[in-house]
Amino acid sequence: MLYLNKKIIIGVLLFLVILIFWFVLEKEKQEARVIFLDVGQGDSQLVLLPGDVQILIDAGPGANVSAKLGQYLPFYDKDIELAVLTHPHADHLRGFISIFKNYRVKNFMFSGANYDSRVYADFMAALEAEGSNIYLARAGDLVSFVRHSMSDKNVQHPMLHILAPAENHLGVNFKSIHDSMVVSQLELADKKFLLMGDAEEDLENQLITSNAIGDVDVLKVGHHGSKTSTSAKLLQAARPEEAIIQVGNNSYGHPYPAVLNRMAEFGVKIFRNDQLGDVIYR
Amino acid sequence: MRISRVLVTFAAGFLAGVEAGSVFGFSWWLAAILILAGVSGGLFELSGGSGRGFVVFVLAVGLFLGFLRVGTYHGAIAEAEKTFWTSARGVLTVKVKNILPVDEAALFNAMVLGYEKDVSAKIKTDFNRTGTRHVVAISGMNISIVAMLIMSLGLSAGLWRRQSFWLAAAGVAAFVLLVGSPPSALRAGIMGIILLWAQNRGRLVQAWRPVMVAAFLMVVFNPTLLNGDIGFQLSFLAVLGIIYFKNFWARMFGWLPLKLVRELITLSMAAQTTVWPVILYNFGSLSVISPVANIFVVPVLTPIMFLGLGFVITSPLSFLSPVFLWPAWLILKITIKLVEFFGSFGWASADLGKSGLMVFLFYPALYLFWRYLENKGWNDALPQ
Repeated sequence: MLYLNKKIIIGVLLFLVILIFWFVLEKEKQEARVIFLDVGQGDSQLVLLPGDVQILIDAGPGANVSAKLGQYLPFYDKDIELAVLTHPHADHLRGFISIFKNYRVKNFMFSGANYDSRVYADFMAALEAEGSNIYLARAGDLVSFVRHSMSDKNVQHPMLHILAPAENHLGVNFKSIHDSMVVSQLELADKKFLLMGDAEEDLENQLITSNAIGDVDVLKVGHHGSKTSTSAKLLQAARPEEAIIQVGNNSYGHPYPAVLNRMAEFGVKIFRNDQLGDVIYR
Repeated sequence: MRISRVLVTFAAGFLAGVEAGSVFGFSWWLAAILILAGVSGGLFELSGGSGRGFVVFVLAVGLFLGFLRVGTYHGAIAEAEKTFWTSARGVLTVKVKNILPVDEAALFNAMVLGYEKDVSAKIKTDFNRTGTRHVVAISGMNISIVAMLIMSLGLSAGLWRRQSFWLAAAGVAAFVLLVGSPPSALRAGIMGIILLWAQNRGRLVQAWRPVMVAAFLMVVFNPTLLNGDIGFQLSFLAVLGIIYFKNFWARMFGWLPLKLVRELITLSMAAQTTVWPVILYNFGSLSVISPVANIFVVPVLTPIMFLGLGFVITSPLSFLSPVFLWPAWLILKITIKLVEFFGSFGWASADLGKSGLMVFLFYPALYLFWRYLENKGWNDALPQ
């Protein structure tokens, strides 16, 4: 079986050529992409940048997010450069436990708010074991992406602007944990994305009065299209052309018909994960 | 009388005793009747001057002890995959997960290290539907490929055939130990070595004796295996099928082109011959596409086990791991796509409903069929 005859040598060489070609292809075809992952009833957004850089915002309700990432990441890359948790509800959080098992998360950003739940406690233990650099999100924080350039100096692109929370939330208890939301604006692929997490009307109003919300192209609709989010005021301030609703089979009545109508009135085109699967911007 | 025959007779009796004990339940009355019948039967035969007396006696003692063993065993019914050296396998599985994408890592860990937990339900279903599930577990087939690889390594390094066989046996033992020797890997190791031994000894049919002794040894340690462990039943039935029906199927498919295709179809059909009633009884469906799917999926095992062996041996040097794992990734990715493709046909698997009827009807019929084939001379190996 291991007597190396010509056929085997040619076969192995051919195989190696395919593998190397694949590797080069994966390296070369990389482009900036924003993917709203279909993880069922829950949120997860994946940002891919050239140079094997990935940002994961929320991880959905379960382990299937790991397999989803396997589809989009190059086969040799098991590092996630930045992960962001918007708030500690299970439908945004639980997937991280599987992510920590299958990937190395280098940097982690969250609000640090207190929340009493079993999943959150498990998550905190896993986060500690993962050994990522931990950042507490604060309004005004900027995540920039340094692009190595041959001709000029390295160019910095600011790309993720944190809009909320306004104060330090480390160890703070909340009546409604949705008030501790990490809201951010992503600028990529010539588009502005407003990522609302599960933010509700109170927080929306706060952001509007503090002038944090400007004109955007795409709105990640807050709280899976629940009736307590996405007010007319917000739509007026953000003026999105398109909206993503991250929703799966659920018994909460998400997305709420009145919210859909409201967005239709503003002429917003709606994309839903439960109807389309993953939604990709490139 | 030869000692090997005594051992085999004793093993047969023991297995029958365990089976009787698990089916009918244990009672001291029955045990007493068994031992009395054995002793008196043996004495009776001996006094008549018949040489068979001793055989009857050994058989009865085996039966009695098997009966006793299952009656006094208090282990858990379904013993978890405990490993006596868990950490070794744990380190290796984590290493694979850190290098390969999720699905491929899970499949690699299942095939090479016998760790099936991470394989997603969807992939498992696809493998089931195409009758290729046996490659996902660590099985006699995987291990015998490892053994053959080591053996050919030994041969090309200039060792004698016999020396390379022992090298392969030692290699398999080390491999089983290294992956933490869960019961499934242990069984696979024993099966792999038996198959290798039988192939080197010529006539395959003689291999039923070591198979029986292997089953006996495993059942001695855990008598619930025989009646309660589907994996145990299927792997022994498959090996017996290969031993007894490989030549028959080789004759049936002698017209196929390409030696590799012929060999794979023959092996797959031979294993299916004995396995399908138990699959039907336990799972209620049979894979129709299995022979075709196996042609494409089984050859994958050789490079995967080769790369797996390389990975395991070089695992202390971390920087070498990707050299073995990335090629494995491409092969596994293709495998998953293939199995998805074959499983996507509606008719890939026939849902017949669980039924144990075939177990009772088919095996006696199969025995008669085998006798018939034997008389016709169709069980002899094809002239090479």
